[in-house]
Amino acid sequence: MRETWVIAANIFRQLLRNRILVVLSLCAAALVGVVAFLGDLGQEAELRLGRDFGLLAVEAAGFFTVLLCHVVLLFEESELKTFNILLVRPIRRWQVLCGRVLGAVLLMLMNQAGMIALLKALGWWRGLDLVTADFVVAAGFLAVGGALFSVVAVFFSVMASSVPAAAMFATFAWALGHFTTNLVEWTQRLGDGWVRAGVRLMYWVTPNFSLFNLKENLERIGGSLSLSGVFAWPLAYAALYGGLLLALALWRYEHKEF
Amino acid sequence: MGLLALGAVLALEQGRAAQSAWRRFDRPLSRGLPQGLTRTSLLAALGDQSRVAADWAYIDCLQYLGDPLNRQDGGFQRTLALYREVLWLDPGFTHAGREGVSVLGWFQNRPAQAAELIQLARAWNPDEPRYGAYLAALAYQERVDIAGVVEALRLEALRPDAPEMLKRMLGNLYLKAGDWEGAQVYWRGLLQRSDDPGTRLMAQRALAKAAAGLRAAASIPPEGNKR
Repeated sequence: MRETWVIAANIFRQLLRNRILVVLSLCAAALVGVVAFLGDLGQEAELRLGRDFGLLAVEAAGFFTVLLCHVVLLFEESELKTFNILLVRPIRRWQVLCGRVLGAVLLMLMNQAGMIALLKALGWWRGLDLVTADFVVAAGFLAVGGALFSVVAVFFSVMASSVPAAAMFATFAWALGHFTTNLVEWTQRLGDGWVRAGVRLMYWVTPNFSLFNLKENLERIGGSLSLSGVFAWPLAYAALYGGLLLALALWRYEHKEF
Repeated sequence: MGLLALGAVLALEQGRAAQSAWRRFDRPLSRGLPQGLTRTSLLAALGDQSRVAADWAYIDCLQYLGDPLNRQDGGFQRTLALYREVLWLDPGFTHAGREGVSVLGWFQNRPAQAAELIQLARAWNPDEPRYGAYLAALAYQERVDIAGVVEALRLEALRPDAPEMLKRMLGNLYLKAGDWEGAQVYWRGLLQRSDDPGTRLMAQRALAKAAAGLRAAASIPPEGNKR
C-alpha cells in the first residue's frame, strides 16, 4: 500500500505541474464568481441560489478535474510511453492503477476544498451564511461521487482503445448515472415489462451518481445526520461498485501489453 | 466479483429506497408535466437537478418581469407559466410561490391566475401554512373587500422573508383605501425594516403621499361649521 500512496502523491505532483490542470483550478475559482453573479440575479433568494449554484459548481469542478486528470495520464501513458519506465521498477500494475485513482481524487479534493473556502469568503463578504454544516456534508457526498467517477474513468481508460474514446465513455457514464434513477421511476408506470426490465438492468449496470446528490434536500441534512440508510447505503454502494469496477480494470490491466 | 456485484445492487436499491422515503417532495415527473414546460427544465428534472433548475427558472421569472418589453405581449402573459414551472421543479421554493401569487393577484390584477397558482402550490406542498393567508386575501379581493385583504396579509407582510412585492402591495392598499394614518404607520415600519432599495424609495414616496392626504383631509372643514 505504501507504494500506492507514493505513486498517488507523485501523480498528484505531476498533475499540479500540468498547465491544463492549473487552468482548470483557475476556472473552478472563476465559477465561484459566477455563483456570486447568479445569486445577485436572484435578489431576495440570494442565499438559496448561492448555496445551490455553489454546490453545482463544486460538482462540475469535480467532474472536469477527474476527467482531465485521467485524460492527461492516459495520454502520457500511451503517447509518451511513461509506463515503460515504471515497468522496470519493482512496482505492481495494480499499485499504478490505484495510484492513478487516488492521485486524481487528491487533485479533485484540492480543487473542491479551494472552492468551498472561496464560497465561505464570498458569503462572509456578502453577509450570507453560504457554507454551513449541511453544505459541507452535501459537498462531501459529491466528493464521494467524484471518487467513484475516478474509478469509472480509470476503468474506461483501461478498456478503451484511445484517449478520446475513454473520455467519451466516461462522460457518457457520468451523464447517464444522473438520469437512470428518474428513468426507472418513470418506466415503473409503463405497462411494457421488457422496457421496465431493460431500464432496470441499465440502472444496475451503469454507475449511479444520483445517490450522492443531496442538494435536492439540503435543508433536511442536519436533521438526519446519523448513520442512517440515507447516508450509509450510498457510501456502501461507492465502495462495492467502485471495488467491482476496479477489480475488472485491474484484471484487464494485468493482461494488457504495452 | 459476483458478491461485489450483488452487494452493489443491494446497496443501490436500499439507498434509493431510503432517499425516496427521506425526500420532502416527490420527484417532479410524478406531478404531471405542466403546460409550457421548457426543455431545459424537463432535462434538468430527468437529470436529478430539479432544485438548481428551479433556481434558474426563478431567475427567468425575475428577468421576464423586469423587462418592460414583455408588457407588449398582452401584459406579461407568461407570468403564471413561469412561476408554475418553478414550483413544479421544486414545491419547496415557497418564496417563489408567494411572490408569484402577489404579482399575479395584485400587481397584474389576475386573481384567477393567482388562485390557480396557489391551488397548485398547495397541492404540491400541502404542509406550507403560509399559503393560507394568500388564499384568504384572494377571496377578500374577489369581494372587493380591501380591509379584508389587508387583515389577511398583515402578519405575513411583517415577516422578514415575505416577498418585497407583497409588502409594497399591502402598503399601496392602505393608500388606495384612503387610510392615511394606517399608511403612515405601515410605511414607516417598512422603511425601518427593509434593506431593499426599491422598497425604501417606494416607502418615501408613499409617506409623502400619505402626508399630503392627511393635509388635504385636515383642510376640508367639517360639516356644520360653514360660515
